[in-house]
Amino acid sequence: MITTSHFLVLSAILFTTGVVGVLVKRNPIVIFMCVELMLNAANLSFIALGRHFGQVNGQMYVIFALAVAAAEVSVGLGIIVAIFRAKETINVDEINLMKS
Amino acid sequence: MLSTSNLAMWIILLPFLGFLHNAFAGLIWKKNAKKVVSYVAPGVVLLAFGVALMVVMTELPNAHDHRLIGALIPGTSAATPWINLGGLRINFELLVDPLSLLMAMIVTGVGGLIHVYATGYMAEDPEQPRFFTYFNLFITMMLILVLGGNFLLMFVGWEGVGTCSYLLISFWYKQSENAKAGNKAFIVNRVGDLGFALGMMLIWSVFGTLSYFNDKGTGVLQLAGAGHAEGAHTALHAISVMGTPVSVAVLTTICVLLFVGAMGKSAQIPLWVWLPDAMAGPTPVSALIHAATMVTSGIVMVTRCSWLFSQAPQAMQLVGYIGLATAFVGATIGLVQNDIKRVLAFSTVSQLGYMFLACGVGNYTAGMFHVTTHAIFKALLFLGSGAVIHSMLGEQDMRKMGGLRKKIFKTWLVMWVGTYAIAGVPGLSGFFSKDEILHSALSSPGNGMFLYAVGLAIAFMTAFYMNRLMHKTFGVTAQFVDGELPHQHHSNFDDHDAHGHDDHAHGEHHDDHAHEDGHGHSQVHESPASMMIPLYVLAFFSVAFGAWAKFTGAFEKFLEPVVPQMTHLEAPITESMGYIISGCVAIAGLTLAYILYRKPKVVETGQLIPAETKTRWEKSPLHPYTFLLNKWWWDVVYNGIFLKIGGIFAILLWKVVDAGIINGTIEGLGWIVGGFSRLFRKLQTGYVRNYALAMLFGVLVIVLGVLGSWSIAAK
Repeated sequence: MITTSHFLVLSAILFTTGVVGVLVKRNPIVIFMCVELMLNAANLSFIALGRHFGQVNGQMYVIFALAVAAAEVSVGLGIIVAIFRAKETINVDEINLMKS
Repeated sequence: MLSTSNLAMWIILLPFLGFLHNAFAGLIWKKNAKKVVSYVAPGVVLLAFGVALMVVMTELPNAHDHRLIGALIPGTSAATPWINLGGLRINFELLVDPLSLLMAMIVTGVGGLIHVYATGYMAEDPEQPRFFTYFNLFITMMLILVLGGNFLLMFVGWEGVGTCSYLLISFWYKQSENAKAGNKAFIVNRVGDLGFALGMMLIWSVFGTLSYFNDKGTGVLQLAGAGHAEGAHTALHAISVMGTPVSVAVLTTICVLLFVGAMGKSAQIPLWVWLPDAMAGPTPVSALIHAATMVTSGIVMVTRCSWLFSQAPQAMQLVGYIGLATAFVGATIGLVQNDIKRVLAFSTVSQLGYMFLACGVGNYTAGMFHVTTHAIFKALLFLGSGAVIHSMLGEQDMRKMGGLRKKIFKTWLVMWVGTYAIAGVPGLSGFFSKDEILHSALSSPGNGMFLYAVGLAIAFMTAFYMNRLMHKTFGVTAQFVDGELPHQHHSNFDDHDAHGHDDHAHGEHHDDHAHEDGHGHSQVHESPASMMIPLYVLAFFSVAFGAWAKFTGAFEKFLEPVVPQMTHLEAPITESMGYIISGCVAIAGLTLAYILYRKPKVVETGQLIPAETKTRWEKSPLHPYTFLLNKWWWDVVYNGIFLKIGGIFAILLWKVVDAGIINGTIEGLGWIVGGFSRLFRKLQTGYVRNYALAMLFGVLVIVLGVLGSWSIAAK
């Protein structure tokens, strides 16, 4: 029997993986994928909890999150392309314009 | 209930309109500006004199208690507030009483004549409209000073005349010494003004008002006792607005502070140093502002406050002794000066001292009498000296004059009248006014004999240096070659001078003042009619006014309602005896100068003491001659104290206090903030993952906090 706890544990594992990926990776494409992982971990727990409480809200939030994530990816990729054009690299460690 | 005067405001407004007109004359009249201004400027002042006369003739006799209140702004009442803040209420009000009307008549009458004279004197100056703009503004301000119905309005006039004095002293500002003289006058006067302002504040805090008189009977002078003038001096006592008596100490403080203001404006020791330098202005300015009117405003103010002063005997003693000391110092310095205008300047200082002596011994009427006669004959002397300077093409040094009597006989004649008037030759106006002061000094309680003796010595010196001036200028052999005089007329436009005065190019002048070239290339010439007519009028009054006022008693009766009557001791000598003594002293002084300056050798060189002797004397700084020539080293001492030591103090404030302490504190604060910034700047690495990690920690803290609070709430 797969209980809600199983879903939540899986969600936690996926989220942690995403966080670690964001923190350690230097390729923005991979960082993006990790961000997606975190989003989807959250989506998973939404659905699981929605089923657990027998409410539709969980699934509604997921639909919203997917739409926003899609938009965000398009903007993010656009920025990455723009940066590559300007700096000929997309290594995030070399893009440190905010360093004082 | 005080009567109202509807005309009084026009005495002030007419010169003010003239001022506005002259200021914009160039815009309105273009090329004709100078001509129009030369009619408008004297015209408004003489009209104002007419209005003042009308007020005296028609309104004053019907006034209750010889006092009227008027509004300053047409169409309003005297109760129109100017400042209304908390308990402080100051109105646009005028006080029209014999004192203010007397001064208004002096200012507009003598001032009007000087305006007429100035149209001739300044005719060639390209900036003549600017000159008359200041001149009319000065008259306006002086009238506000004397007619203003409260201390603050007087202060407005007080500052206004100071400003005009500054503007006019440095009228020819291209020469830097003129600008410096203007600065000196303005700065020294600031010291006095501080005293006046403090005195005014003290008056307000004690009496709760600044008005002299009001309908409720709570004006400063009413509270000080002027309201019930019938009683004797001893019955006077000032009460505050609460009805409690004011202590003599407070009254003395008020009077001394006010007198500090008077010291500045009226050039008394120790603030007298600006007046001799003020002669840098055009001569009509010296005559109007620095002899006849503005410098007497200190005496007017003391007389106006005589109800306060008469209850502060110590303040009065101070006034008297300062006046006497100033009169003495001024007269001694006048003995040796060589600049014709400077002699007159020191004589003014000395005569102002006499007036304060009169106030100090409690005879305010005599002080004002001397103000009036002095205004007339000193204006005459200054204008006469201006005519001499004008004739000499701008030369002011008496050592380079001489023998002018034959060349400018009419000028000599009026100057002669002025000299005898100021010296106090019996029958002329200076004789009566001066003798009255000396007589009341003699009969004053205290050191009457001492005051009288010093006063006589000053009178003797006055007679001597005035006759010396006459002899050096008109009497001795000419010390210059006629026809070869350098043109020294001042102007801000040097180019104009060079062309306009080019030796015999006078025919090209298209103004009414043509130099007379006909008499064998003589340059020395009589002044134009516009300059001579005022001189004749003033000379007439110099002769007639004193005797008229004395023998009809009109002057005393006129001023009686505004000054307290002081008790006097029985004088040791009768009045006619006093007349004889002061008459003899005056004649002795004149005769001494006459004898000394008629010696053949002196007539030839024009110098009483040979030039070589003078040079030798000047080498030792303590020789009396050098001492007097350098004005008792007064300027040198002031330079040492205020410029040198004051300069060191200023540098101390600048380098230590300002640059060190204040700037150090501010910059130290900035440095501390900057230090923290430098420390925390290291946090901004620019690496995305560092920010992401920080975010993660932040989120963790929030989540843990929320969970923790839930678990606490659950319990």
